[in-house]
Amino acid sequence: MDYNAIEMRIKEEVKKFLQKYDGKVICFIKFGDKAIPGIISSITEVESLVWNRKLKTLLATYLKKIDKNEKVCIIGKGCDSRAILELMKENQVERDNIFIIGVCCEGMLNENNELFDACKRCKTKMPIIYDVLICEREEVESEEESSKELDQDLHVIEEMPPKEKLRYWMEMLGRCIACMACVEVCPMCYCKECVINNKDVGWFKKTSRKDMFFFHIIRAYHLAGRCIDCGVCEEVCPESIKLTLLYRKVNKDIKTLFGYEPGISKEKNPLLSYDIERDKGIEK
Amino acid sequence: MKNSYVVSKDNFFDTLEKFGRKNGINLVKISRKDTIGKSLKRIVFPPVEILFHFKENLGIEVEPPKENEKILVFGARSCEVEALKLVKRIAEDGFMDAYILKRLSNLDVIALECDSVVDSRCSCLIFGFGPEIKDNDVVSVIGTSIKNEKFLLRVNDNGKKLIKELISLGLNIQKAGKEDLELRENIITKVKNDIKRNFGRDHTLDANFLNGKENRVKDITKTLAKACLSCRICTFLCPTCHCFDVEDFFNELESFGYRLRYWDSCMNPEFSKTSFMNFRESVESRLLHRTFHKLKYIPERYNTLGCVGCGNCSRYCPIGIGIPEIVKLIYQT
Repeated sequence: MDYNAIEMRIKEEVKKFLQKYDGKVICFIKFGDKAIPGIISSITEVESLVWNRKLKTLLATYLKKIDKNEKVCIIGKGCDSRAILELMKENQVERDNIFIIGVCCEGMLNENNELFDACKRCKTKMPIIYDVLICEREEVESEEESSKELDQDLHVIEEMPPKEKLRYWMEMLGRCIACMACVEVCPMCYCKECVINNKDVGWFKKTSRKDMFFFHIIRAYHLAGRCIDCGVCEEVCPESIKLTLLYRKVNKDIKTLFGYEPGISKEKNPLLSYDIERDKGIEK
Repeated sequence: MKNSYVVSKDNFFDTLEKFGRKNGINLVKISRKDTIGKSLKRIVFPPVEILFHFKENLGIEVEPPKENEKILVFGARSCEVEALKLVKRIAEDGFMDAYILKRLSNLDVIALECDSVVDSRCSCLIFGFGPEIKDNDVVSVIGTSIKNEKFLLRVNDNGKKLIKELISLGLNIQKAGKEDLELRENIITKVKNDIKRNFGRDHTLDANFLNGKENRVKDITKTLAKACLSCRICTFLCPTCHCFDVEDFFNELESFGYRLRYWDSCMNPEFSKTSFMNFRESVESRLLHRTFHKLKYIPERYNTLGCVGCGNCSRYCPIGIGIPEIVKLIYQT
């Protein structure tokens, strides 16, 4: 893909948006010789906008920092659009207030020029929802076969006997040192106060491996049918805990039970909500 | 150092393991690829630590903490050794941190000089530490891996006893020749050149380099604050960060409890929350404080930079910006 051409087109679209509305733009901006996410609000700042193949950060996470009644433009890759779709279902984002410049993505590269693990699994190289689409190719071919190989680690977990499974997760999740990075970087974690941070009530003891295990199981259930598998939590974890493995397993079960895929199913309501019409169908 | 020896790698590892088993010493091998979660700081200052237990039984009884086990670390890199030196100085300064100092006294470190950079984030040379390790009081033996599966070991006074015991367990040592020392010099020069090339600047910062550049840092953190997610990963992986929080747990039914301390982070919004106000509520003020603490306050107090240039903060940061990137920007106009 020609990233310079994409960058030019993004700049044009952003300029159009800023001329039309008095809003904010969530995009990547130049920072020394690197690019960081930034929020710009004037046409003069548009020149610092950057697009290349090393931008793994999820811009959708920055929607947490912006009031939902403000007019916002966001540059969205596939993963961003999945997050926005889920946030829309949960009323965290107003569709009318958000302008999405969708950009096709062929997977982002890390420091050593390798694809990120989450990018290898990605099924939405084309954004799911957008107002303007910037795409070089008409259709990005699906890679069904390679994704089967990537689910190997899931099968290993599934075939473990229950006791061994428990031991595996106790060992893995017990390593957690409660740094909360996975919560802060997650686009779907928008609670004002996380259950683990409430010191007054003291639900969790940070010394206890069991308590940290429970915290992660609670988080996995909170993300059930909501985790969009962007993989950022796993990238930042200082203990290299395989968090996405847990969330993918939960999502896989949800797909077999309810046929719902977070970030991809375009239903109006989130899975874990009350919907008379839909729930009647499940009963039958 | 006068005492330089050459040993073969396999022989050295074998005797180290024998030594550990014989004396009941826990041998921790740090490999360069998994420094994450196995750093030296973490061994002397664990993420969660119970300070003491207490019982309420007609007055309060305090149970002192248990004796620490002896630990022998192999493979600490120059950045970690330098960071440990700083943590030790901070622990000794003013009100002494007995828990850290006790662990340090039970710790033996065999350092290993890098024979290549880990990745482009490595910048110890720029911050004036490494990649060579100078003799100091926290290490016993400094190794360098030279060709033919061999280590060049430089032994200081702390390490003499260790090497003697290893020899009695079957370690074959040879006096290092001139060409072995030259090999080491070549390796170090190569690493230095790599770091300079990756960083894009050829200069070494001195402890007071930030004087007069404070406003530049303020400008940088202003832009950075919009992108920072306050995920705290920079502080949790920093080898010199040493802040902690203390909490008591008390079981009223059984009348016993314990006091524990765990790592805290200045990027945590609640870090500066007092009964009166939260005096660093915005991300910008927290970022500024962290940067100044590493590059200004620690140098003022200890005359050494608070950042050793290991690059962990930028390596694992979700937006890829750490102290080395900020320093690079300070010099860019």
